[in-house]
Amino acid sequence: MGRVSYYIQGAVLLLLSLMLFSLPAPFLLKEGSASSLWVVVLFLILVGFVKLLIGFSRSLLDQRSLGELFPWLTLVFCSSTFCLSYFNLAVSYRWLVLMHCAIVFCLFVVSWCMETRYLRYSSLVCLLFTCCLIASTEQVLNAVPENRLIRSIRKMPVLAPPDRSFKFYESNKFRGKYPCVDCGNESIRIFTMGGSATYGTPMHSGEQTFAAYLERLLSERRLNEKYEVFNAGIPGHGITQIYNVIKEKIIHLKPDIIAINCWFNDSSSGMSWYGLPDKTDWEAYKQNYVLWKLQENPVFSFFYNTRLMGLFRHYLLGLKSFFVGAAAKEEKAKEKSKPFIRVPTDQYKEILEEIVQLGKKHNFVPVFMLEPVNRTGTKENALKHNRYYRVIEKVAEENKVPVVSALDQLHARNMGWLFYDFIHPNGDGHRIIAEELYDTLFSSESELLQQHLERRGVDRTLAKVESAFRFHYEPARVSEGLKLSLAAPFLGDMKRDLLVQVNRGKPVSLGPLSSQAKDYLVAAELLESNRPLGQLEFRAAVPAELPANAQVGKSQLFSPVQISMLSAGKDVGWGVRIAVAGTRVDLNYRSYNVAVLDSVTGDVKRVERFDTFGYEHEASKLITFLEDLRGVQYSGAAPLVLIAVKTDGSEHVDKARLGEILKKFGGTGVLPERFESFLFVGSPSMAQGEAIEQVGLKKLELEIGSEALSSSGLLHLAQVPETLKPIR
Amino acid sequence: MTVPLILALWIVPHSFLCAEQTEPELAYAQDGLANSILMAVPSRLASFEKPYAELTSKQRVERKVFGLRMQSLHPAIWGVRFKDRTENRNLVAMRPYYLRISEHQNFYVSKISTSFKFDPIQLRRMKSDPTSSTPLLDIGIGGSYEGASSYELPEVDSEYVIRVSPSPHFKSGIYYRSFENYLHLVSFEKEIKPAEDYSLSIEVKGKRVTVSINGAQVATYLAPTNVDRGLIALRTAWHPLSFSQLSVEGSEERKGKWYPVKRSGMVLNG
Repeated sequence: MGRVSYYIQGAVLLLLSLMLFSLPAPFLLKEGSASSLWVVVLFLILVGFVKLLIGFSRSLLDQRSLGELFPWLTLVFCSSTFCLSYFNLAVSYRWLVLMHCAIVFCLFVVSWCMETRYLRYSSLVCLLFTCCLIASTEQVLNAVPENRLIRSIRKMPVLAPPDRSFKFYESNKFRGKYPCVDCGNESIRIFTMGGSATYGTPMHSGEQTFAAYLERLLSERRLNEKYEVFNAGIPGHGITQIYNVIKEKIIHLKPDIIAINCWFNDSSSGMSWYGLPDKTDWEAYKQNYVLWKLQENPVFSFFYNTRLMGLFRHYLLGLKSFFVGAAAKEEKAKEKSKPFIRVPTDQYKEILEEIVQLGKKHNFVPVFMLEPVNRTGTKENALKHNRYYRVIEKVAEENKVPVVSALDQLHARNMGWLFYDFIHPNGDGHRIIAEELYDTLFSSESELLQQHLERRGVDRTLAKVESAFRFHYEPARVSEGLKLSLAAPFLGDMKRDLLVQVNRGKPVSLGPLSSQAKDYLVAAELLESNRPLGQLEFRAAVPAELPANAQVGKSQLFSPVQISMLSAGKDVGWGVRIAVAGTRVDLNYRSYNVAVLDSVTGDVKRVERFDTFGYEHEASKLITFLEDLRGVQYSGAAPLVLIAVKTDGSEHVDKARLGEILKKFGGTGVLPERFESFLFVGSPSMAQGEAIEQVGLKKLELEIGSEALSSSGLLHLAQVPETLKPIR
Repeated sequence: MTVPLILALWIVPHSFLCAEQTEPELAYAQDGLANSILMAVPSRLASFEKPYAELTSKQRVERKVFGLRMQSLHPAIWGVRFKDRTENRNLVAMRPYYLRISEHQNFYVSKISTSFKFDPIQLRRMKSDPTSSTPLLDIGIGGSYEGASSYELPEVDSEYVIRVSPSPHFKSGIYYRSFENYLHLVSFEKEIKPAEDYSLSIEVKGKRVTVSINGAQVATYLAPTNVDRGLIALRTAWHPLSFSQLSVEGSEERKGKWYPVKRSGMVLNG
C-alpha cells in the first residue's frame, strides 16, 4: 500500500473521530470517567495516528523531503491535542497539552520560514484547520451537559466582580425613592451619600434619616421652591465607592447638590470593599475599573465567555499551582491577614479632589460633611484629633466647597441620647444633622454653592422662616416675663395672630403678626410652670375666615389647614400619602394609615397604622382605635380623622363593624373591596353622609384647603432670647 | 367605742391583705396597652422563655439584641418605642426600654432596685474616648411622651432621670430631661467606680424621690409634681455593665381595688 494511502486513511480516520466528537457526549471530562464510545473513538485515533506514522516512515525511507510532511505533521499534532482534551487525559497532563500546542506553533513558524510556497500554503491551511477545530471544540463543549463539565470550564469567572452598590440601589432604590429620570429640571435635587450612618442603620424606616428630615424642612421653609432629597447612603460605603457611584450613576440623575458624609469607613481597617486584601479601596478601584470596562466590551465578552477559554484557563491554573509552591502560598496568606486602612488620608484627599472635578464637569456642587461620632466633642477639638476632618477642611477651603459640621450642636446635647452606638445617629441625632445641613445650604459663604443656587433660581436672601418655634425655658429665669422680636415676612394680605402655647396649655394670642419685625411680650403669669423646664411654642393662628375649599365634605366643618391625601391599591400604584400643611405625616404602611387632627388648630395629634392585610388582630385594633376616638376632644371640639389605604383595606376586616363605626364619623358605610383604594375624611361631629369618602380601583387623590391656610414658612425669628433653649 | 375601733383595726389591714393575695397571675401579659407608644409584645417569645442552653444560635441572637448592653430584657415586660424601632440586626442598639405597665394611668411605682457593676475601664480611657468608653446608666421615672408620629418631634418627651456614671464627663445625680435638654437637680454624695458592685435603690413616694446606693442614702429630691406615675425607662451607654436582681415594685388600681405589682423582666444569658 502506498504511503499516500496511509495518509489518506489516517486523515479519514481523524476526520471521522472529529465527527463523532461533535455528538453530545453522555459524559465528559470528569476525571476517571470513560465509556465504550470513547474507547472506540480513541482506538480510531490511535489507528489513524499509527497509519500516518507508517506513511511518514516510508517517506523517510523513500528519502522524500521532510518539508512535504510538515502540513500533515501539523495536522496530526493539532488533532491529537484536542483529542486528548476530549478524553480529559490532558487534564491530568496539562503540561503535555501545552507542549503539544507549542510544537504545533513551532511547526507552523518553521514551515512559514522555509520560504517554500507549497509549505507556506499548507501550513496556512493547517492553521485554518486548527481554528476550525477550535470552533468545533467550543460547539462540542457547549453540547455537553453542564453537570458533566469540570466547574472551572462551565463558566469563566468575572475578571472583576461588579460594584455591589448598583445592585443595592436596584433593590432598595434610594431608601425607597427613585428620582424621575425623564422629568424636567424643576426640582432642585440633593443627594446624600455616605455609609451606614447616612443610610440610617439600624433604623427600620428611612423617614428618620437626615435626608428625609432635610426634605421636610425644605418643604416647610422654602416657599415657592421645589426640592427633592434622595438618600443614596449604603452601609459600608467609603469615599471610593461614593466616587464610583457618582461617576456611574448619580450624574445621570441630574443632581444639584451632593452631600458627602463619610470618613469612618475609610479609616477602618479590614477587608476592602472590592475584596482585594492587599490593596486599599482606591488602588483596587483603579485596577477593577479597567477590568470592568474590558468586561463591558462585547467582543471581549464574546470570546472570554466561551467554554474553550474555560479549558485554557483550567490548564493555566494547573500550571500555576505546579510552579507556585506551598511556602509562597503561606507567605501570601500571611500578607492577607495584615490589617490596613481602607483609604489612607493621602488617597482620601485625592478622591475628594476628583469629586470636586466631577462636580465642575457635571454641574453639581459637592458639600462635604464632617461625619459625627457619638460624644465626639466640639469641632475645634475634633479637628485636632481627626486627620480626615483636617483633610476635608483643607480640600474644601482650596476648592471653595461648603462644609457641614453638626459637631458643636451635637456636643451641646452631649448629655442626651443621639446615637444608637458610637457612629449611628438615632432619629434625634439625624434631625440635628439635617438642621445643620439646611443652615449650611442657605448661609454658607461658598461661592460655588451660592452661584449654583442663584442659577437655579433660589433666593438666598429669603428670611429663615418656620412653621412654629419651640423652646425650653427655666421658670426661675423668666420671672418677669419674656420679650421677643418676630416677623412674618410672607404674610402678604393675610391677617393672622401670633399664638403662644405654654406647657401645652390653651394657646394665647399675643397680637397680630406683621411682615416687619415686631416685639411681643409673654406675661410672667403665663410662664409659671410646675416643671423644672417649661415648654413654649409660638405659631401663627389659623385664619379667622376659612375659604370655601376648606369645607370638609357636606358638613359645616372647615379644615384649618391644607390637607392632601392619596391612596393607591395594589394594582394602581401601591401608594399612600397624608400631608398636613404641606408636611407628610403618614407612616407609609400597608392597609390603613390614620391621622387625627385637632379640628380647631389643625395640629396633628395622632398618627397610626393598621396592617389589616397582614394581621387579623390589626383589624380589631383599628376598630377599637376609632371607637375610642369618638369620646376624644381637642381644643374643645371633636377631632378630624383622615384615613388612607395602601395596597388593600379589605382582608381580615369585619366590614359590618367598621362600616358602622365610619358611619358615626360621617361615612355611609362604604368600604374598599380587595385591593381597592380608599380615602376618608370625617369627624365624630358629622352626621351620616357628610364625610368625604372615595373608593375605587384607581389612584385616588384629595385636596382640602390651599396653601393660604398653611402656617408653613410664616414666622421669622431674627434672634433667640438668651433665656430660651431651642427644642430641636 | 372599743369594739368599733377593734373592728376597724381588723378590717382595714385585712382588706389590704386580701387585695395582696388576689393579684391575677401572669398579669404581665396584659401590660400592653391598646394605644401604646411602645411596639406590641411579640407573638413568639420562645427565645426569652427557654433556658439559654436550649436555644438555637438564631434565638440567642434574638435574645441578646433585645435589651441593654449585655443584659437582655423580656419583651412582654419591657418595650421599645415605635420611633426607636430598629431592623432585625445583630446589633444591640442603645435605646431606651420602657416598662410596659408604667404606661398605665393607674400604675404607681414605689421602688426600683437593681444591682449593677460596670465593666472595668481606666480613667484615662473614659476621658479620651467618650464615644465608646462611657459607662452610664439612666433610670427614668415619671416620664411623659406624647407624639404625633414616629418621626416628628413629639409634643412632650420628659422625665426625671437618675443617672449613674463613673465617667468624668458625667455627674451622677438626679436630672430633669425634656427632649435632649438635661437640667441637673441633685448630685449624689457617692462616687461610682467601674468594676465594683453596687446596689441601687430608688424609692418614690408622691413627689419625693430618694436614691440609695449600697444601702446608704445618696440623694433626695422633692419634685414640683408627683413622679410616682409615668413612664419608667432604662438606658445604658455603649460600655457594658452587668445587672442582677432588677425589680420594679408598685401598685395598680383596677376596678377600685389595689394590687401590688412587681416586675423584673431580666433574662439571663448563659
